[in-house]
Amino acid sequence: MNRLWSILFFLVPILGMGTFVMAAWGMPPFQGAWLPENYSVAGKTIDHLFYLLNWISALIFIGTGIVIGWVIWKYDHRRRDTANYFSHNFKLELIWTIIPAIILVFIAFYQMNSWAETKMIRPTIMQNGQPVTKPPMVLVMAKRFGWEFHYAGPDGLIETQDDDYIENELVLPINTDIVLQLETRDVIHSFFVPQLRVKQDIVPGMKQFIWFRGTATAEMDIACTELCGWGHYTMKGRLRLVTPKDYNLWLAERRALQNPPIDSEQQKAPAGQPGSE
Amino acid sequence: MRNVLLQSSCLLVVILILTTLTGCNPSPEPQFRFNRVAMLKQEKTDLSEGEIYPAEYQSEISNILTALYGTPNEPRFPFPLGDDDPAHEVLSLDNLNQAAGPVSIDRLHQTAGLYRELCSHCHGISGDGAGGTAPSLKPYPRDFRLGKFKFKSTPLRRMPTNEDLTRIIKNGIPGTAMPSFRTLPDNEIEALVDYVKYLTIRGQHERRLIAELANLDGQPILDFDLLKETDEQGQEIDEETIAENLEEFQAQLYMVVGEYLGEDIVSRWVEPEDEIIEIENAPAAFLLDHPAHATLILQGKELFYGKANCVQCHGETGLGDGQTANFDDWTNDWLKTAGVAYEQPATYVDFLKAGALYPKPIVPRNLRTPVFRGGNLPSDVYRRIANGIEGTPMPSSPTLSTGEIWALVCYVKSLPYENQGVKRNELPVNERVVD
Repeated sequence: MNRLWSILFFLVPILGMGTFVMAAWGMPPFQGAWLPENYSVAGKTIDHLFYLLNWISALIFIGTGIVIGWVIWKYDHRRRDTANYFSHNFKLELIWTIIPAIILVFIAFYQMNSWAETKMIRPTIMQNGQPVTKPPMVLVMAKRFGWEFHYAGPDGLIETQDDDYIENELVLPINTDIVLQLETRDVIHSFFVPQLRVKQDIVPGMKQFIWFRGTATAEMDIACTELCGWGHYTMKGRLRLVTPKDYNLWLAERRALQNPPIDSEQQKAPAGQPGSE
Repeated sequence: MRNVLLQSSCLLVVILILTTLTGCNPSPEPQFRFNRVAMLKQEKTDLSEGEIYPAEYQSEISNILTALYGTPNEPRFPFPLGDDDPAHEVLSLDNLNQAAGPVSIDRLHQTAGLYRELCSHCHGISGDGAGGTAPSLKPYPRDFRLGKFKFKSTPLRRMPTNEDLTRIIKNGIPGTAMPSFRTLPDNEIEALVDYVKYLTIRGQHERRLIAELANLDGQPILDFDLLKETDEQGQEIDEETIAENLEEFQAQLYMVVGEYLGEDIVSRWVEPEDEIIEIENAPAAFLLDHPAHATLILQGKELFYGKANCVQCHGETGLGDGQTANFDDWTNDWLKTAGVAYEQPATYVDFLKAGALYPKPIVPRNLRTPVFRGGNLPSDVYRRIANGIEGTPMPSSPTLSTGEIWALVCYVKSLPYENQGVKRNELPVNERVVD
């Protein structure tokens, strides 16, 4: 009973780490609590960063837990009734400022490339021998409470008259650099696809761009992660990653719908005649 | 010190008990909201200024509706002809039960309470289009109780087909707050379609009962004493009498259905597919690479400014700025009765208090955005021009030939794109071709 508190403090790192390990291995009751499978190229570096930060935090977490527990165990007031009062300790404070600072600076430099890759350097295409930024393939229009996906028409550009739109279903090819332009009709929304390690807030009046490269065919949910109103929980879309061949088939099917059935009689009529009944 | 500790722990215990007691009370069972707006409208029509119908009228109507259609948790539907009733083709009770009630999912992943989970926060428990989110939306969510649906393959004043309602739920309505529910399995969408029909029929019946108020004279139609299982002295009635009474009550109910439902409300939902207007094939010039494509666009342009007179509402340049002071039928339904100026809310404040949403004018579509609410396929645009849009000033066009409608579709689709999010510096050039 004397050392109840020190034992409790020892339990913190043990139980804390136990929870993490059980979640990472998917043991009950933590099935599916860890990261979902990654389907994006850039997702690998993001996962790597995630694990690195987790390990650093885990070491600090266990270390501080053990130190606190040990201090309480050793300096139990029943054994030592005189406390040592002091106002500051310059050396100690220097150490616990510099070490975290070094860690933070290390993280800041270490993550620069993946930040640039996922947020700053847009994929390019070659045009007249010059690399130019790839135009967005789909305009994602967020609204309360759904996603409108405006696909570029035959001209390959979004925001033109031949755009085709479909709600809550996004079909994209794998092994291709995908660029999406995000906009919102009303309030702030956030485009979140955990399997692609993509999350981007969408602010009214702004255009946001995100890009990724899918690695395998799969189906996943697109969720809004910014509380946008009463129906926020219903704001779910479906993303299908398909092979480029299937994608082209799907696109051709969508585009064919834009041409209504044509009167065969009319086709034989001489050119220059406007259609009438 | 001890005292303070004792006091604070006592307080903590009291707070805990209070939160446990209040927190664990189940929320009250939701009820269908009475159509106060229609009632107020009826009072303004039938009675002299300031008079209202007695409260018994409202409770009589509510009782009839509950006896026929049940509650949001336990929906019912009148089938006067039993198993042979044609209403079985309109909706099934199994579907209603799946869509109604509190939200739940069982071990077999069978869902229930779909309407409350997905629809009610906009369309309201009663389907009155006045859910919690509704006031902040434009356009307002659909009020089913008028029995009017905008985007359908059938002509004006006909009911939409199952496919029409399914398409709206699956595709959503772009440009409005109606999202797509394409991730739902087909049987759940089917259940929601039936529930929408149920709320529509119930709402229309309610409106009709309210309209019949003046003839009722406040006399109760249903004798609820017939449902009692004990007589006035508290003695139990024998089973034979109970059965007889129940039969009598049932007969009264179906009399109400016969007298006040009107055959058309339900029967109009039976096989609306027969009414679908087939679309004739488009002229070959509709294709972009056809040599006569430009001529077809020009023909459409002439119709736009001339014979079809689209310019009147959609504006000289198709920006939807021609006629912007109209209201849709759902607003006009009471606004016209109130007989007031929309700029002066004080004159219709009693309707707003009764639950009507603040009137917002209906704006014609800006044809320079590629977002068409009824769908952006050429056949969708064709249907909107040919059939008109129910409940809005958009008329049907019986005087236009198939070829002329296709020319208009072609012209509308050829108008240059304009991004809604970008501020317009100057108006598009007016290319009017017809005086």
